[in-house]
Amino acid sequence: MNISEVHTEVKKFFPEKISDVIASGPLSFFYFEPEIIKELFLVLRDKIGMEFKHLSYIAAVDNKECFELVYCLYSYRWGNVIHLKTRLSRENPIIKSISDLFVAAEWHEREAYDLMGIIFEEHPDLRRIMMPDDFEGHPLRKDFKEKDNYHGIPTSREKILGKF
Amino acid sequence: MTLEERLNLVKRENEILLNMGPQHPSTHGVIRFIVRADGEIMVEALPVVGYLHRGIEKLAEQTPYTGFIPYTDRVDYLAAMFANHAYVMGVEKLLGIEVPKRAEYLRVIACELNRIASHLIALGSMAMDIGAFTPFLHGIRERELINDITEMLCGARLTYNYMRVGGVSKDIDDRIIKKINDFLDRFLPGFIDEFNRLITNNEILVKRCVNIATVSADEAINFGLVGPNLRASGVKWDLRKNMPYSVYPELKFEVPVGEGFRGEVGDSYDRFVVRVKEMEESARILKQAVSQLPEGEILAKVPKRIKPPKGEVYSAVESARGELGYYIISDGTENPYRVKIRTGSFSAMKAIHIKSQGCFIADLVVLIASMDIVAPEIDR
Repeated sequence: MNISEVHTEVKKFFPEKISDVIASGPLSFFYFEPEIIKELFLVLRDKIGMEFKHLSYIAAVDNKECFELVYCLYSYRWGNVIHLKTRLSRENPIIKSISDLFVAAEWHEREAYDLMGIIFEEHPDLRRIMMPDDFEGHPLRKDFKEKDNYHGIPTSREKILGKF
Repeated sequence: MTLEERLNLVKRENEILLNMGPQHPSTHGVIRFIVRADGEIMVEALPVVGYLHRGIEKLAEQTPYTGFIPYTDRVDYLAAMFANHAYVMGVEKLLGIEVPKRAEYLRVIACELNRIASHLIALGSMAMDIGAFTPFLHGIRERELINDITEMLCGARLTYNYMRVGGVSKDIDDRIIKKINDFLDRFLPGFIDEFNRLITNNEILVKRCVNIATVSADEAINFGLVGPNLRASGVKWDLRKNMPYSVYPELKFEVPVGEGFRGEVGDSYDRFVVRVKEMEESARILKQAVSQLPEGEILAKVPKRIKPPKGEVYSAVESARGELGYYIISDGTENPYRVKIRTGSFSAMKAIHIKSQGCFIADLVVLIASMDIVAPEIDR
């Protein structure tokens, strides 16, 4: 089942909440509204014929106007891979966690929270994963500015080449 | 929530906290585990990662497309060829470049050599964690020969930077082909037999690994395990077969899966044996690839300044640690807009956290080693 077949199948369940299939270069995907994430992924995971049981990764993208989350799902039974996207507002990037449906999601969501600052509701253990606990800011955001010191340790070096 | 708060939240009265790492020989890199134990039984081994976080994904946004290739080597230092391969494949898809046949064969040869080298370290260090030192040295000895070959091939022994957008950097010559053939002659069946006699069928290793941390097929899929870890649980999924890329459709090989060689399907011993069998298959692929190597160019015509059109791509290869994929967004400039690296070790860590629950403390090193995690691949 390729992306357009999945799209027509899913469209029956959520006619209003799903965009058309968009081709962006070699990759095709569709957008869904963030509020239906749980129901949508339950359908994708358990409906006979789709069975996308493997969540490969979640990528958070800073699109300047909004944040985007990219979900990649595999169906080992049918040999398919699909990509889905959702948009979150910059001011209030909150979405429901799907870690109860896919165990793999738990760490990917922690990474998205740590590096992009997206809040996952009902997540069992939403902590920073890569950066230290006391780190301020979310480094993968496009407007992230590195602080000039961390606990009194300067983060930039004196330019030695100009001196000579 | 910080780490201390998390631990205080769940810790019960009779439990002890035990720290393992970040500097510990059995964690295969800089990873920390906080073991909550009730006597000898672990309640959980909480992984704390991030010690090797270099922000490769952020660096990618500030580097031109070609300039990022050396960084991909650092994603997984034991199997750098695959990280090279997946990235250049992604950029080629964005640009719509056809890679010459000879270059594709050279990529396969380099990757399969690298897979053998990586599995040798994985198996050797697993045996060493259990207490057998000699197999590690045997593995290192064979890997040294592979390192010699890659040194002749691309000038580097560990971080290769061999692949280019549109092909590879250097051509192979008769001297290297002879060296590869010499290596294959001693590797299959000689070394594999020796290794099996030495350690795979060793009673102590078998007893330590059988029925430890069994991952069922459904669990493995849900945990997001990939590569040999997934196949050891009995799921026959290999990107080389199921979503073929490069010239793998032209090569004949089997995909070994876990069958419960001594215990249950998907235990630590299955993960060990599947890797041994994968090395045999890699050697078979190498034999065919070297004998079928076509003549021709090794680099396609690629513009000096790479500026892919707007678009997105996901390209994945079957690395030694499973699916290694790059999700690249191009906004039409010289630098990628966003690069997300999906690695096998990252998802394996969550599986270690869950599977450690109820294990003996002594079995934690077996579990970690059998998942074959590499720290820079987790943190990136």
